[in-house]
Amino acid sequence: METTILISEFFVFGDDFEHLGDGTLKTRETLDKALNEFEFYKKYPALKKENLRKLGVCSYEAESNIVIHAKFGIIKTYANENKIKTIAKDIGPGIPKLLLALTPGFSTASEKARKLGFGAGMGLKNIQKISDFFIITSKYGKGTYLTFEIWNEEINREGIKMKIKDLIKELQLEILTKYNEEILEKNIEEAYACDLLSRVLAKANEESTWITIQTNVNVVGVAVIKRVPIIIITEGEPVPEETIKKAEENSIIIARTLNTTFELSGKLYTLLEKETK
Amino acid sequence: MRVEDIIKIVDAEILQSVGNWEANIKYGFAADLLSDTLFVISREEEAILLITGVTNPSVVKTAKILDIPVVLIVRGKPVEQATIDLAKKEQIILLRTKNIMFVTCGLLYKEGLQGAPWKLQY
Repeated sequence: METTILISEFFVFGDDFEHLGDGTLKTRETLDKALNEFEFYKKYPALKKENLRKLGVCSYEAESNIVIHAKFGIIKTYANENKIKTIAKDIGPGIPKLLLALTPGFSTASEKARKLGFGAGMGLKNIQKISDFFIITSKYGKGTYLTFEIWNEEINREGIKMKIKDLIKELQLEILTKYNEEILEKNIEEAYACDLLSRVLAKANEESTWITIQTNVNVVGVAVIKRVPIIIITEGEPVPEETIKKAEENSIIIARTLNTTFELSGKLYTLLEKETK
Repeated sequence: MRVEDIIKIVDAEILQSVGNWEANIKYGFAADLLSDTLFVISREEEAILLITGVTNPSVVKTAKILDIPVVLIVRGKPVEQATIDLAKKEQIILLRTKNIMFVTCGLLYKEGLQGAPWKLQY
């Protein structure tokens, strides 16, 4: 049974720019301490930092929206092992066109707000972008209700991961680069198979394994940008010395297989799927 | 890049020195709109330098929320005492340079400070 605790509850007053952010900073401080009580964050301290920041940004945006537009509002934040949840309610003018308010750059903020560095028209969009769950409803002339959640994706993802060293063993890959043992302990969650560098840049998720037949030195450049820890070259393609050297400089592993991209992708897919079950 | 290096490169004065001087600053971000700052650098792990002309306490609150260790005020703008006091409390180093924002960014970029990574995702 998971316990949900109320982290903070604070009032926000319209046009009170002087105290804007105080509530969020206080929430962040309390949350910082409260999260230490959860086993999960003891296991993943880095995630705590990330979630604190996400919550901070969203809460700050919600708070500034009330200060800029509404008369009065209240912001409550709850947390449990799985997620952090915030509810922001206000009495104010409401948002006549919600879709428009979610358009980046659209803003009805006052000159005063803009002078202080707010009202760029990014707030709601930002909350939507960062949070894992986001609802906004508004009644014109009455007020706005906003709720968002930050989830512990790690919990949901747990089990899908696979260590690089297991992956190399299972797929019987030949490692071409020198590496240190640390990299082998890294976790792999997913892979992307593609031979077009520009497409990988645009589409591949960061930190995926990359399966390709390309061996020129630019491959490493793309891998660095997308933080790819391991590149798997298929069909036993020869890899130029230059590429290997560059990969070693950037601590990226290049591994090779005689399989085709199709075969390797299939095997890897099965492996990652098995881990999930 | 160390905080000391930044001070040397842009000839900055220290307005508030309590904070993390060990930070290894890899990226820079310059903006006068705090909302834009919140939008762009809300997910980055590495230490970022915020270059801005905003001098009210909100800039410190923004920095705190984004885990930004150092804020550099440009154009030699006078800074409110309240901002300095809050920065001390929140342990955010506050620097000020007489250079305009363009020159400040140029100097730091030339010395190897990179732009904060971000992809267009409106």
